[in-house]
Amino acid sequence: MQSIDQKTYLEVFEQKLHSLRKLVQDLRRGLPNRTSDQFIQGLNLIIDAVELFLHQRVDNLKAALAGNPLELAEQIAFHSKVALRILGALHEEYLPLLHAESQRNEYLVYPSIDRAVRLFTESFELTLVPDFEYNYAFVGKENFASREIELLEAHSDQGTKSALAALRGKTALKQWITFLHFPVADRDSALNLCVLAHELAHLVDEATKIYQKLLPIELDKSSFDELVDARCNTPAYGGITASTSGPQLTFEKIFTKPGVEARCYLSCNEVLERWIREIIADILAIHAIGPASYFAFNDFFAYMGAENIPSSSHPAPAFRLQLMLDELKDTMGYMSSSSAIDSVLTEAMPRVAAGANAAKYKDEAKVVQKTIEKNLGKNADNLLAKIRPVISGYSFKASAYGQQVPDVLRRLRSGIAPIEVLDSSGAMSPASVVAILNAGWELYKTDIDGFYGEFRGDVPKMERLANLNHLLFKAIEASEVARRWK
Amino acid sequence: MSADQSMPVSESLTSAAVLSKETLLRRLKEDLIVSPILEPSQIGDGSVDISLGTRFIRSRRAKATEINFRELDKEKIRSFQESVVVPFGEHYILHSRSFVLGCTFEFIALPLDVCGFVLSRSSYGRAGLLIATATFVHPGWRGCLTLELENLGEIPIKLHPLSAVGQLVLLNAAKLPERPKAKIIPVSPTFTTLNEDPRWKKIKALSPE
Repeated sequence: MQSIDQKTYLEVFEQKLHSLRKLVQDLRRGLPNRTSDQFIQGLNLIIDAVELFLHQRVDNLKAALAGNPLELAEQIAFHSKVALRILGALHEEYLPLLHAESQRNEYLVYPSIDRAVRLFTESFELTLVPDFEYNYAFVGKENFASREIELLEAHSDQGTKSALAALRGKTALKQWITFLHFPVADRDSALNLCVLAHELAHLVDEATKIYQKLLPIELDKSSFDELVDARCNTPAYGGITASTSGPQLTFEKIFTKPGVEARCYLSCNEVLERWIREIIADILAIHAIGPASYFAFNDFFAYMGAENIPSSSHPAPAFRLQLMLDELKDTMGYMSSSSAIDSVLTEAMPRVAAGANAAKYKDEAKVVQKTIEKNLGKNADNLLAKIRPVISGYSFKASAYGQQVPDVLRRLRSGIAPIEVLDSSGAMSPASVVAILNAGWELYKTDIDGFYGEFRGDVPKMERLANLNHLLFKAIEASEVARRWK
Repeated sequence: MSADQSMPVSESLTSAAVLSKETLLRRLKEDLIVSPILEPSQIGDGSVDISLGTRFIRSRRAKATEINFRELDKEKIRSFQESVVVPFGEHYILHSRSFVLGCTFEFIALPLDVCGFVLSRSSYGRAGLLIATATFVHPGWRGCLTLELENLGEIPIKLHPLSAVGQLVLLNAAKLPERPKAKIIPVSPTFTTLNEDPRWKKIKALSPE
């Protein structure tokens, strides 16, 4: 028995369609010009497609079921519900992104980010999304609107399908509609926002499909067999017996050992792919922005109060930090001198290594960790050797650090926004964003009291640190303008 | 013979002089920072053209009835002002008889023996735009200068970030022994800090409202 009048669904659909369109328009007005243009076009396209889908279906149903009003009402209600659910999903998933974007960071770091991504792909729109969840995340939608409309096409009759295809072909959107989420609390911290380099690296990975070149990887056999054996003997009902008198049902009794093995294989590979993609992003980011990436992640894990344990999506924090430090040392030439930055990194090495060794792994995480460790050997064909070529042209090696950072750091230490530095010809030229960020971190890690000394005694320390971040933002913004101007 | 030629130029007069273009170029390589200089033509005889940044502070008229300096506190000030960012390539419309705080795009750091004055550029002034009322910049000062922008004319003016609306005239000054400690090194406009003036305590004691 229907609890809702069948006619209501179609009426409600029209209302929801109207309010959704109005919401998109209102949110659009609150955004800075040229922000999320492609995303909004895509959203409007999907809304149009849902409307077209339902109206066409209703017209066709009316023709086909003219003599059967009950069936017609039921069919219209069914299709309206499908359309309503799609609108509901748009409302829930996409509109918060537009709303958050209107609260974006007031410093204009976007042009620098845009320039960095363009080194790898041109067909993208990137939106920075301040988020109340304390996390950094990358969300990338490839051929965003087309895919959604194709789903509707799959459930349409021939006439509707052609109309939807025509609508889909109307607007050529960028291939990648992407969002970088960052914690609102970090909006004024250039130092913390260095974590964004890792999220940008996810976009590079998606666009250039690095992960596809690395996978599949053969799972570590001994730990995998251990997992399968353990799983076979695991009670299927979490310790609750299926019947009160008989023995416990285990997974093996339900699925047989090959069945359990197949399930473990799938779940291990799912975790492996996610971890590999995190490692790719970590390695790309450490090459792209050097020690700043390591320092930012170290603080980020601390801010999150992260335990040193892996999850199904990420390797253990200390393991990731160790990978970054190893990359800095072994491939990028850091920690080979007595410079202040090398000393800080060298000093951190044993602590991070101890943390990595202490991390506890079980179940799929244990198999995946062993598998990755086996593939991180020194041989030329190891995992990291396949990632490095993508970024080798932009790697911020120790030699580049030594050339670019000291002058930037000298200015920053005396309270000057390091927008320009003296180049080799003795002229002023824009400082690189990477040098600015690393100078900020070096100052913070090695001589922050020297910087604090530039301020009056009654200025709280955190205000002085905030001022350091403001100087960094200013330098990033103005150096980018100077670079583009020339 | 003119008076200038007849009078010997004393050491003190020399030290109070506006810095010539040649001196400006030299000091910019040594210890004067006006950064970035996007066009060489920004540097003139005695002054450097300064341009508009991207950040503004405007009043929320609906929230405030008056500015009473005597009763102001930091939170109250913030409640009737809002920060606006105008990205490069866009503009802020300053209506007739309206006021907004902006700041320089250039980051400025004066040496310990140089002071400055901020002046409107006459070409903008003739259109009705006044850019500064508190014009003196102390020796050793660092940051982006707050500009008090007012449209004195009858017609709204579009303010474009990076447009060279003002000039910083630089002069020699008696050398400070060391760089003054900062309360803030601003990179965006800063609102009045008059509420921090210790004088208010005494004024209040004399005449409680």
